[in-house]
Amino acid sequence: MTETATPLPRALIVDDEKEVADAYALRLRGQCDVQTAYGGQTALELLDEPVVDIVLLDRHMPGMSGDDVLAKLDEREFCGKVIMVTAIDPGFDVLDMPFDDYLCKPIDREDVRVAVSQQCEVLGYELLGEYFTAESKRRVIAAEIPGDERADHDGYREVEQECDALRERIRRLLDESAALLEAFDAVGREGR
Amino acid sequence: MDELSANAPLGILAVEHEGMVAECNEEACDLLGCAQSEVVGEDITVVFPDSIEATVASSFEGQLDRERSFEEYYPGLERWLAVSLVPTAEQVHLYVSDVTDSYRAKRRTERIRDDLNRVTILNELISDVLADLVDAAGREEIADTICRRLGETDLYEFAWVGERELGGDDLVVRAAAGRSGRTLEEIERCLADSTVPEHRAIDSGTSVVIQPIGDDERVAEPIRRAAFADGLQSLLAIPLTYGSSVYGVVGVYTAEQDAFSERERASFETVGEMAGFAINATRHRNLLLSDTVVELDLDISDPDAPFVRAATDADLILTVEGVVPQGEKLLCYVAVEGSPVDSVSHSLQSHPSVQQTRLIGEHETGGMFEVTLGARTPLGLLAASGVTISAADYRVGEGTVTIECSPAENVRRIIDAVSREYELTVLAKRERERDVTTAGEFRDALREELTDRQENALRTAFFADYFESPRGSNAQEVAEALDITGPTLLHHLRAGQRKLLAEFFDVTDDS
Repeated sequence: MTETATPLPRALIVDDEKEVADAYALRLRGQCDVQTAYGGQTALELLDEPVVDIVLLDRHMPGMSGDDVLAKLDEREFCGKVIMVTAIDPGFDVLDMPFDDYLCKPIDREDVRVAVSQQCEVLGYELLGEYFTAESKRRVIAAEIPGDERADHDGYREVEQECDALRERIRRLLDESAALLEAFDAVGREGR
Repeated sequence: MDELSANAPLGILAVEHEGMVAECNEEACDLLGCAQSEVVGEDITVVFPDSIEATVASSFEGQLDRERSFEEYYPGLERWLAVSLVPTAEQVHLYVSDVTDSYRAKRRTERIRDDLNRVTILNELISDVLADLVDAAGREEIADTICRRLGETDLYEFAWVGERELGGDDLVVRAAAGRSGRTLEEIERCLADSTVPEHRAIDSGTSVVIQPIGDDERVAEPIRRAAFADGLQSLLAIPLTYGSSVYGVVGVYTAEQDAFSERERASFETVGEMAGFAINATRHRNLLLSDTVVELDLDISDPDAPFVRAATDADLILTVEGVVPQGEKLLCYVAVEGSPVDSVSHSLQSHPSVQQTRLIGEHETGGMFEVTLGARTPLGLLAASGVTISAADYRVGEGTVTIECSPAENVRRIIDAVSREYELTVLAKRERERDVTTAGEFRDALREELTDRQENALRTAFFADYFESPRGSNAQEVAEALDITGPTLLHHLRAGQRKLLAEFFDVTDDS
């Protein structure tokens, strides 16, 4: 097992066929921190905590199908990317599909890595946008409340936690995250 | 390694506690897919392939103080291996065997069991549908029943019933149930272009299976897109047929791959036939049970109509005495007033919509023809729309047809079905009480018609079981009983039967 200093994006692979799920998981080793689930129900349990960034979801599973899992994720307002794994290739782009990307079985070793890294990047930038908004808000509140009162201020604590969580996710999703975050921090906004 | 271990049909590796492989047999090398030289002297965590659980590697990372056995999947090898780790004082012994076949067999068994469950559920479902159809009161209830039963099970995502608009070829959605999602929306949008798979089923009268839907080019792309987004994989379109009439179509959609086997398809075809039968029955029931009928006089003087053309060409009067639908075709019995009757048959035979004519009888003032009309003639279209043709008269450049239908029938649609192809005007529309003939009235009317000899002959023949099959008495025996000759008996019987049937079929008989 590899222990690396840089945090990796978290991926969950869901396929009722252990052989398939395990094969993908090994392919993504080193690129992601990978978990596997061999059924829809288990997948939903694993998705509760901690936060998963990318889900590779087999569409056709007995019992709870990939589409069922997807519907549940929508209900929970899952904040991550879903790559659907299907058996057929209709040759469509995914712009108006209910998932973020799809791959057709059998998946080429490189395809799965490229698709996952693309989605990591897309998610990373989306979260970066959210982070910028949250961080600006935090700074506005920070400017208004004296330093020793902030710890007791609910609104401030909440936005601060949100900022920390987003920062952590962005770090593992984007290679150039350090530079991006630094550049954002360097801009003086308080105007004083 | 001793000979016993070296030749074992089981992979054996002896490993130092620190992880270095001391020795291994040939079977172990085969299983791990590498040469002996690549294994011996190397670290077991490097030599042994990766699995998700990585139990071999983790066992050597910690202190292995007791025996461990497990089965794991090794994606790199595409094999399942059963592994036993047995620690001894000096070494750890690994015993490895390939158990892939038994895993795959287990998987196959599960799949077969799932298939069996599916078939059982399907059979129950279909018998429920059939039971419901028997009780269904009308066309809409039939459509609703099928959709509800098929669309609301776990087997299928949704079902819809389409029917052709009587005035045209377009399909309309009559009922739908289940998770129809975006797919049904797209189907509805495509109905006018005839690019929906259900169109093919209704046109051909045979079921259509499409699986997978996503990459079948015959399906319009918007539908395929929506089906893919909705996760639908297979579809089955079953026509609702009775004889040669197609009353509609059911589309069944499912997320399952290759869901419709030959067996499922056959079961569904039975549902289609039962539904067609039920629809047909309700139409007739509507007509039979209603106390009133709607009677329409139609002017169909279109020169392209076969009988209008024949009457014009021959300058004679034609009267349709009776019609018998035969699948798509319509048999018409046409009386010709005037002569020569040949000119009528010449004109009819040259008409593209007339399939056959046969002269039944000819007399000085005219004759009788049997004419087989195609479906796309005014009378063919009317008969196909389920109405009763009660009269049709033709003279030079002129044709009038009287039809009867149930008040529940949509008259506009019936008219449109004909007027799309032929000029037609409605001359009159009447609603009237249905003629009710009681059994007594029928008998009285018949008695007036039958001569005593005819009635006697019929009665004797009937009670002598002459009409049974096989006959209780033959013609000779009945004739002897009546003290008449065989030919005379047959003459009386035929005359009597003709009158009986004429009264039954409500035809005026002058003879």
